[in-house]
Amino acid sequence: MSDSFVSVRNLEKRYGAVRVLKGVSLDIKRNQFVSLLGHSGCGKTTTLRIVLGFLKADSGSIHIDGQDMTHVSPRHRGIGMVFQSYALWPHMSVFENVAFGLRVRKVPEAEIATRVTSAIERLHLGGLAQRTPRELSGGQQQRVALARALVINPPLLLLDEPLSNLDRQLREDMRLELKHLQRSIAQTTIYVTHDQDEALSLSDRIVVMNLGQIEQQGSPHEIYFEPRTEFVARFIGKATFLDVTLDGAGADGAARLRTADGMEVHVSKLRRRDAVAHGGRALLAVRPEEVALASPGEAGAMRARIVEFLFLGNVYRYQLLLDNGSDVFLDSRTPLDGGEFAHVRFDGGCLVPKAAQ
Amino acid sequence: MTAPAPTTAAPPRRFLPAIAPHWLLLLPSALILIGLFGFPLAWLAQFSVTPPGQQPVFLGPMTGENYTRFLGDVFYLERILWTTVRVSLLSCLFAVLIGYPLAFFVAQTRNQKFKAILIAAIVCPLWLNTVIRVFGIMLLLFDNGPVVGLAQYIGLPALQLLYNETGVVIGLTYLAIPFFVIAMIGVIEQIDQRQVEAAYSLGASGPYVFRRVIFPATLPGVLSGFVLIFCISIASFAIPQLLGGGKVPMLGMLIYRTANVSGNVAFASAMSFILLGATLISLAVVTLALNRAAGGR
Repeated sequence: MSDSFVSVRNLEKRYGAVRVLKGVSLDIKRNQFVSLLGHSGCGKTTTLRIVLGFLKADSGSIHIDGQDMTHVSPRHRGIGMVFQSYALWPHMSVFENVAFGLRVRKVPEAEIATRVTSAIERLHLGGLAQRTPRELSGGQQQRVALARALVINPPLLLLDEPLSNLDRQLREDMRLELKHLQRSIAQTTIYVTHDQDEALSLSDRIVVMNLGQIEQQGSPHEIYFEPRTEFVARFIGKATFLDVTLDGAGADGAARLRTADGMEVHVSKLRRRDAVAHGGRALLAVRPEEVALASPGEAGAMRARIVEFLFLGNVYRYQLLLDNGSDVFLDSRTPLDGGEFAHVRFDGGCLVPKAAQ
Repeated sequence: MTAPAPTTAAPPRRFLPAIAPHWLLLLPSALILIGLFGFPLAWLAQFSVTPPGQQPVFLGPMTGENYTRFLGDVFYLERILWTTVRVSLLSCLFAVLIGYPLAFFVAQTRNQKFKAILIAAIVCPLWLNTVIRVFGIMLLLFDNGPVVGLAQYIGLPALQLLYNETGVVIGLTYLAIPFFVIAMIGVIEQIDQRQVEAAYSLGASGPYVFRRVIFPATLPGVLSGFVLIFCISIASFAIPQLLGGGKVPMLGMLIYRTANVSGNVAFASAMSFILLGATLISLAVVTLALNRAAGGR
């Protein structure tokens, strides 16, 4: 709590009988970039709007930089906000859009000119200052919205699905640009998204939300490789899932597991082995890139029937069927040789507690 | 999460099955417009250039006499035309000042039942004939009526609210409000809430947000609402006749009298076109002024 710049405590929100937030707490360090990641309806936007001040929580508190903001009106919170739809003012030029927050603060005209110009330059909008938003492309509008929020030097920047209105190519470019911007200005940021790729690539920390609760928070690496709940494991990335019990473990991280129907499974490097007690039931999650082709006699090799494949550009993603009927997903750089069967082994995997039914 | 379309994108074109060739859809309304508006208007134009005392013949003898009689006479220009424009502008201005906050209130009402009741209350005067409503107003504004009595009771000097310009302005304002409010409710409801929130989050106060974001966003609606009520007001003849007691010479009234009482159809036609011109010029001026007001800080 002491070193957190933004501290959100136990937010509760109800709409009628529906609890949309069930005690959400967040701690964000200064200059950290944190993503709220989840399906639509998971409560991430509700959380954002409460932090922004446009929605009142039923209970809970918000502190920014040591100040209690829980009951402060949105206009006095000083938070920079970028909306999904950009929400630029169509009747104002780019310059006036960006200058708005400074004019409100009664900044001298000369200083407005320099600060707006530098914000516009920083976001590569030079030469567009006198255009109106309608004359700009989606990506340019996006950058105007960013410039408008950043020009006031907000203690906290909130981004609500800022890239979801852009087409794929542009989205990727903007992602890089955002990352670069974030590095250069060290801005404390909360980023709301349903897109795991954005969350994984941009964030210092990811907060995965589900049904109004935080499922897991951690670094992108942790979220991807060490999911702590079945929801996170299934939500982030693609994986092969097997119901297993822990049978035995080697010293080097290797483990022997047994599926519910008695099939033996070897994993060379099992992460979060302590997620379940020895002999306890768990879910084994194996990323497609952790599944490798094996030769038939090899230790840990399992026979699988080739069902289908998707060409994803950089890899071929194969869907295979183990003898016990479980799906296995395998990424291969080259198409598999003909034949009905292949042999696979698990080079890595992660144990996840089974979700309570 | 459903993504709203980016603001640059053109609204998606609705695809409808071709029930008929495209131009055919326009045919009924085109026939009505040409038959009941274009043709009479052309006739009226012919009337307006017919020399006094002659029967109008289509594309027959033409003269500008009827126009110069009006436009060359300070009495007509000042006493009639300027009164017409001034009274209409004034009553429309009051209708906007009263109607805008009302429309805002209705648009922000969350309770749908209450909202429906409000809208019904605003519209229901239109269910009554104008003349009947005007008589109602006359009962209120009468020299010994309740409004004058109340004004005297609170110490105001004796008011003359009927048979003068005040009465006409009150009547026209009253007539215009429902049209303006109904036009504005939809406009205000469509303000992008995010644009308003963006302004608040940048620290703007309520009045500042209204002035810089909300009002400019509704301005096109204010304009089209204004055009609607201005056209109704400037052409009205029943209200100046009844509430003005015939002493407030508005052009609509004069045209009616010239054509139907004096029988000088040619002059009445010329005045009709002058009224049309005055309407268009006034609207152009109002549009420019409002746009300038919204452009500035």
